[in-house]
Amino acid sequence: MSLPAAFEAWGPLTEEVGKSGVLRLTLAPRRGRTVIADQYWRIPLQGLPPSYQDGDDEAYVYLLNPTGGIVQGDRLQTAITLAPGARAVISTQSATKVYRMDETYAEEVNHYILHGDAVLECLPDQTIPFAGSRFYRSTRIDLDPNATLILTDLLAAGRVARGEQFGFEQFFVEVEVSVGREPCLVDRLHFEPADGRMDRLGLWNDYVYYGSLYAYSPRLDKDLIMTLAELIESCDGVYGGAGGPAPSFTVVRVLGRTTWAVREILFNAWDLLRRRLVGKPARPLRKL
Amino acid sequence: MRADETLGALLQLTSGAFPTGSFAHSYGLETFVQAGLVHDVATFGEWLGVHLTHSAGPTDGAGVALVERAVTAGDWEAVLRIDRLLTALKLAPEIRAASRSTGRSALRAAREIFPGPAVESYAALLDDGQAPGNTAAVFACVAADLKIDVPVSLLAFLWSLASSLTVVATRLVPLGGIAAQRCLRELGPAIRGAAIRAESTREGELSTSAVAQDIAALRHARLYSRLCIS
Repeated sequence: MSLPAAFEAWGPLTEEVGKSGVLRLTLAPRRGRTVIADQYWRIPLQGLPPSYQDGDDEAYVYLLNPTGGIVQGDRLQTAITLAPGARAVISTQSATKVYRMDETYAEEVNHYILHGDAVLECLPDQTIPFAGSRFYRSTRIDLDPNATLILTDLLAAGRVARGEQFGFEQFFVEVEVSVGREPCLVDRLHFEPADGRMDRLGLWNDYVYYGSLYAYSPRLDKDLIMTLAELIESCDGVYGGAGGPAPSFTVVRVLGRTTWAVREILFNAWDLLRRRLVGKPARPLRKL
Repeated sequence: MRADETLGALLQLTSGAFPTGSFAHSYGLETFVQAGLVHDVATFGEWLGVHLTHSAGPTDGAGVALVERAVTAGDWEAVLRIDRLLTALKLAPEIRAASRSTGRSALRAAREIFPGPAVESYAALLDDGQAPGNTAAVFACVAADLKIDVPVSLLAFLWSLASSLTVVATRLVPLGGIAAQRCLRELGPAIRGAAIRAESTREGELSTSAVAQDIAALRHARLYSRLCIS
């Protein structure tokens, strides 16, 4: 990771402010199921024991932040490694709220490593940056060419129901997917509302929720991307598109006016991809 | 090179007559026009301002500055790394293809018109399959050979991009010639602002945040009828 200047200006995050959470998991197949083969965590990050909601080998792992949100100075580091043959759905327990900050910022750094034919479906809840917050999130994914990845992200413009939108100060989010160490797809968004209205044409238009999906699989072909694009573009009330920027990759971007509209379209996209790439339908996540 | 020779070279490189094929690309603008969202000078100006500030400036603009500095320093490893990052940052397939296609055309022309060591080294890397051939990287190599200062290269690159999209808009929206040029003139501060920002953008800060424009670029592939390639 390399921090943008707008964050760096606050100086390095120290132990005195905020919390430093660490979560390291290794998932591996054992006796017909994917289990946590190795783990280390430090509050405020924590992983819950896996459940098996599809009734097969695939582990559902929920990441938990018991403090209920991210405050200034927080550093959260998650590293999840999947051994060949491991299959996992990773999600969060609830939405990630990023609170107002008097000074400095908060950062979340995620690193997922997929070996062999591992399958990772990463479907976190939405992120809500409150007015006055500054948040840096970097998610790096290293893929074996035979691995399968489906990753979604959902971002709110703020606490929209309260009429608060684009009140945050800095929001930087990057997703970097590499196959064999070569970055193939890098999505970096840096929103600074003080820099100009966010509802301008081509930026967020007049939408307040933004969802994205990134997928990779050696089984992802042009026909599937075409079907996905037709599904995304045919939805009313949201504005979305899909495409395949590189072989075996697809990306979806969608803007909407409500959380549920964007969530529904991401769910439908997940369902389509999951049936073809993982061999089973999507299911509404049962939170524990 | 004398100042007037540098200016002459820049004018030629950024001229609409320089054969890059950029007039065939709308970068998602055509989708906005067909949806009725861009329909006059004011809405086009808003769209182009966002494109410069949140899309072209922080990726290709910043890429020109980074690559030109790397070429001047002889750091070809960095040139390749930044060039590949520029490709990875383009998520809409048509935008990825547009940058490579205009980049290749510009390189072919530059080798004839502005031959120089950087252009030749880059051409060899492209032939070798190592460099992706993004238009920003090619522009930076030509600028390095011509010894144009980075801030000037940036202004020239972004101005030429804005000018070419203005010509595309004249055809698509459509706009009157004088109204379109006045719009371009009024975007001067936005072009300068994007150039200044791009000058200090670091590799880890290259980004495209114009989400709706990116969606439009994705949707462009499936428009029923289209005049532009992207």
